[in-house]
Amino acid sequence: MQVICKLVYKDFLVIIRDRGGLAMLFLMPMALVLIMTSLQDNTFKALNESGIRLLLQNNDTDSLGSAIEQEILHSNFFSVYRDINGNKPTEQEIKDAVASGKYQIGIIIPAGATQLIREQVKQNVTRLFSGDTTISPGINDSVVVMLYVDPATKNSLRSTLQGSIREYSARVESRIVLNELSREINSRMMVSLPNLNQIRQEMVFYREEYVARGNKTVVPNSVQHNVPAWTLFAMFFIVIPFASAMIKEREEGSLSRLLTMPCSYTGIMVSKIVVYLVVCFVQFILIMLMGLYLFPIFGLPALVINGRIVSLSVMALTAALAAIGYGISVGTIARTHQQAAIFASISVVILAAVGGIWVPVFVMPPFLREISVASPLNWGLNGFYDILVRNARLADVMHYGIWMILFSIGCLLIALYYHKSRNEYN
Amino acid sequence: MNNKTAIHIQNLTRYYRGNAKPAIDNVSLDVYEGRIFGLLGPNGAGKTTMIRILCGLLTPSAGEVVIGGYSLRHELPRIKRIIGVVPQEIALYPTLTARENLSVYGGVCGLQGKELKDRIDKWLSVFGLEKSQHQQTGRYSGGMKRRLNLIAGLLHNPKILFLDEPTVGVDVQSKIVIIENLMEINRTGTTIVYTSHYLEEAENLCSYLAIIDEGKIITQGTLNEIRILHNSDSKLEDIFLEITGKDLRD
Repeated sequence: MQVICKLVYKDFLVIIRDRGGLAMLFLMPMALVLIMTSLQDNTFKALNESGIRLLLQNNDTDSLGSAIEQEILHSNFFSVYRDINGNKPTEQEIKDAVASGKYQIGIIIPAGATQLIREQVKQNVTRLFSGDTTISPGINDSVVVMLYVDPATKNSLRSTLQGSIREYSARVESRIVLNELSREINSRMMVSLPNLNQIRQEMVFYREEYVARGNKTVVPNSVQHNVPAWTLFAMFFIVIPFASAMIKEREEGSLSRLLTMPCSYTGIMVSKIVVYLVVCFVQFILIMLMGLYLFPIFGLPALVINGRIVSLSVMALTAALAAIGYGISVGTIARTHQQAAIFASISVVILAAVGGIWVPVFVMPPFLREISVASPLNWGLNGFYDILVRNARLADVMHYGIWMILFSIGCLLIALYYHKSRNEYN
Repeated sequence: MNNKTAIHIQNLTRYYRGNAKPAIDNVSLDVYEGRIFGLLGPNGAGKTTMIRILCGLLTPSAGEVVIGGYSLRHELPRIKRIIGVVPQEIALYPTLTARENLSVYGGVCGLQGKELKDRIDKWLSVFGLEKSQHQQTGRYSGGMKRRLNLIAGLLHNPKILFLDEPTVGVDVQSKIVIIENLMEINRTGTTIVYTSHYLEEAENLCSYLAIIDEGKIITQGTLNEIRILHNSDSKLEDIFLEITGKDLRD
């Protein structure tokens, strides 16, 4: 135990004497989390707070035109423009403006669209009541709402807009149909019926709720998603300074000297695990504090941890163990600083990408989805998400923690095997 | 002279990966207690490999080694308690002070509390480093680093001390202090195994010499025995060149 204490003391001193390294260990991850969260938050806002420029030319002065226009105005997705430099644009000018990227979407509602629908419906209803059931309006008689879309606009947004226009067109159509039916029935029957639109009412409603365990509702936002993701990423980047510190110790001969003394390679590694576990945990606490108290100062939503600090801490410690275990194996196997730095940085980026740090796993191609379950960053991320946005308890996420501990032990065993074989054969 | 064996080496062989030729080739020798044993040889002769095997840093490919009565193969932890090693490299933590370095290495060797403090004070004073003891060792001169490197290996009073080129790159003053203190340490009963390229230094310091080349011990004995064996009364350097040749080594 005395040996481990002395080694911990040594590793602690080595870390705190390296000011540049300390800044890298604590300030860089904090900066990373702050920048990435701000970036993602702004993208989120851009989609929600009238960030998309829409050029609208409503040539229909009746129901359809005003219904679509009102829907767009109230959606909060768009900044709506009706002219270009004070002039009403032609269709070609609208196309050109969207093509140039100045506007993301252009919509042209044709003149007399509502009247055209009304006449079609009237014709059809009259035919229907005359016993003619061949109701099929020709293409030439259809109302075409033109939607010009900038190729850089997300597909999901285009689909949402199309869906909304379809929905409002259908509503206007059904209202006209009911009006015409009422008129036709009244003209053919002796009694006067009230307008059928009066009995038309919405029968199906949608209610959306973010569900979490324990009847709690946690509203997801960029902070709840980005803080755990980038904290994990930063935590795993400790592999680089960790492996470099190991190689430096080996190159300077201090490791060999320690190995001639009454201590083992395992003991030397245990001391490093203890010290770097503390470093990772301090990193984690600083980032959590930043999420709680500093983010609101930067105009970001505050991190909501719902009193789950113990669960979060356990997840952070197991993730740190996984990162350190990985660092030990890289530091043992790599022969030079360059090897360690290049391999560690690229492999952590790959593990992060596959693990769902950058894009959610569910949008990945099927084969990557299969691979993602093998990334320790994916386990950590799932654990953090379950706690932060699904309100899970420690017991619910402990399996992720156990996998990360097993990953760490596996890495340690590889490192010990490699160290032993190097002494035997190299 | 004590005839008790401190180190017994029997048919020791060591291969490196990718090399068909052994770095240590079937070496057998005994180092008796209380001696300063000089292991000399040209570059690449196998001196450092030999020291690294004896310290437990490398596993032998074949052969047996017994140090202080303990088998290297089976009782390495016991051996680690009785040996001290001063490697060729400056094996110190440059951002730690001299006292912190010694506290770490002494602590790992089992020293603690007042005993550790007293020994650090004593050796810092003996090697003239007490004034700079709170300075980070990265700022030390080459000679100061060498002296501290030596202290770190002998702080725990080892029974057997391995020294791999302990005076490389130091000024004359530091060299004298190191040599004088090594002789003093030996007088207190510590067996010393010493490698060096400085043959004159070895001639003055060592009570027994072995010359190794291409992994084999090509001669051994006291300086006088070697002179008689090679029919020469010249300096060690001349005998060394005579038996190892003048070809440049890698």
